[in-house]
Amino acid sequence: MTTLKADVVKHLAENKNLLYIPIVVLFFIPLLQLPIYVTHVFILTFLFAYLCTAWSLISGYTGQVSLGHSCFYGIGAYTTTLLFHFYNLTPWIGGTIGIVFSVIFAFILGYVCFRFRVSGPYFTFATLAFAQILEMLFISQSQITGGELGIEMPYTGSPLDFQFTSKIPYYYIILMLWVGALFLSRHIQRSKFGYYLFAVREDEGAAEACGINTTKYKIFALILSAALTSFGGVFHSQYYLYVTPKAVYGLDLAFQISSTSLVGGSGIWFGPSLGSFLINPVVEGIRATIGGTFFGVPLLIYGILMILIGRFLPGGVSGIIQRGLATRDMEMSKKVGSQ
Amino acid sequence: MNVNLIQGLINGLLLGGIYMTIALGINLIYGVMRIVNYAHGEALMIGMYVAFWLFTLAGVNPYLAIPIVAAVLFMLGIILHKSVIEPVLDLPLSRQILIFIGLIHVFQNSAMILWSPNYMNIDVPMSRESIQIFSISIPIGRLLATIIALVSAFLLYYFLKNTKIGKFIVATSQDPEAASALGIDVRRIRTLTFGLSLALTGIAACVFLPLYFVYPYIGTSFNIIAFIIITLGGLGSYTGAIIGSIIVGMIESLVSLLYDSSIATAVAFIVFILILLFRPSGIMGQRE
Repeated sequence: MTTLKADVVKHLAENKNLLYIPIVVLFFIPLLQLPIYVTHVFILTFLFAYLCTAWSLISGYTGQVSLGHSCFYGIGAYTTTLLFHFYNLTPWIGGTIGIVFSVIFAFILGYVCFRFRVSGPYFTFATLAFAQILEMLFISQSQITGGELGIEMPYTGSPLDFQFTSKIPYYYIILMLWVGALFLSRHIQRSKFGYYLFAVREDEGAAEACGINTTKYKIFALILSAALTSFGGVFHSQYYLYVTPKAVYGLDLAFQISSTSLVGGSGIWFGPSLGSFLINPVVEGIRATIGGTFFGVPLLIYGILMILIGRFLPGGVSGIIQRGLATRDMEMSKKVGSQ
Repeated sequence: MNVNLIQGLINGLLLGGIYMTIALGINLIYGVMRIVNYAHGEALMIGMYVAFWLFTLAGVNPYLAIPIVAAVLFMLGIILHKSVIEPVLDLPLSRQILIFIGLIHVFQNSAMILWSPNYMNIDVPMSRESIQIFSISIPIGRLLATIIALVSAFLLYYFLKNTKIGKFIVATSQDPEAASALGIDVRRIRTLTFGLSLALTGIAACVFLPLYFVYPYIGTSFNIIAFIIITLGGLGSYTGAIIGSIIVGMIESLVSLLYDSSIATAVAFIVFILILLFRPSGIMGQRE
């Protein structure tokens, strides 16, 4: 069994193009005319794969765990919705402004935290506080934001307003966003920038002693991650046409992003996506079939799985593949050595 | 001095006292193990349900149920520590967080399956009434909660400073390796600390029950405030937890009195971020 697994892993790794096949297949799935609900599950899975990939740029690569990533998501969603609602500004521009806001916000958060050496749990709680502050402010300013009940996006159904009558265009938009983020993440992992980030994660003091400006790279990773997350929020506002502070700023979302990424494994580019593909279809499937009968049971099992994965699988599920690759590299170097 | 302002200060003090009971427990764990118990609020929720059923089925007044609930949560703490917490102590932060998120799911959904997601509360005589002194009113339930919080904080302090096991705990939190070299069984002390911290939470659960509704997700809101308080005061610091609780309680109460209650907690969190700017490890925290 283990040799079979190792063989598959080896095969996949040696024929790198094989990894692209699933992605290409995903591009053709809408041709199958699947039911709307199934398309929705795909969209949700891509959205989370995208958000988790973005989250891992800061929290997986540099090890600075953020539990407040929903604040960037919410800024994207609310900026778009409010600008369209009050000024009739197309979400394509409104969304861009939202991303700019997120970047500014991420810069402030990153500068405040990293410049003053807020790290570890202190950073985690600072991000948590930021997301909570925004959620509470948006709930309290109800004359503008609609308070706890949220605000609706006026529906025009025009592509000029980032709105479509069917789910298929949304499917392709989020699929392409995710694939883009995935390749960006892979590129970063193999670049000098990525090595700097890993150095920060492994030993920040040593990285600094090597002359790496750790503050600068951490801030940069956070900004990148925030910009991507924020575009996810813009997508949310256009896909659901409805935003509430709890849905976009809430802790549930932040926790879901981090737990999904960590189940998949946040230290490698494809890990977070793997997590989303493993979890979201199953969760949605259970919700659609037996969700009403055994209230709470699926999430209880999921919780137990999270504990077991955290405990026994370093690097999440993708850690298994990573270790397979490491074994292969070692064997290959042995071969080269013996020749 | 304005009567309103005095009322606000007293309310803030009482709220701070309520927060203190949870914050002290999390800080005790952090001090000894350098790990944040992200699922502390969930332990509080379990404790509240235990007290709730003791009252509903056996008619035990929650204030008298304190020893029973504390003992139950002490046992829960020991089991939890041995089964889940101890193996993760040396893991990186991200894996710890995954395990704790899993733990939160397990607790919340077990409570939902066992006791339904409904909001439940009990009616304890006196606890909803207030004492009037001049024109200031002091709610009895909150006053009792604060008094019990202060007494347990004092007892904890006494325990840590004056008993052998307490001194072992302090020694372990200052330097686990040195403590171990001096013959202290660090693993046992850690288990005991976890149990003790959850027992403190059990006390909090009993005094909260007459004041709040109990439902499976009640832990989350207390968790967040408690995290902010202990980070504000400095992770692991005993005095820090007390100072942090009072600051957050005061800000919340004064902002809701003078301005708007819906942003009171937000203002407290903004102050927290500002304090982190000047003290990146909290008010009483030490650089690691």
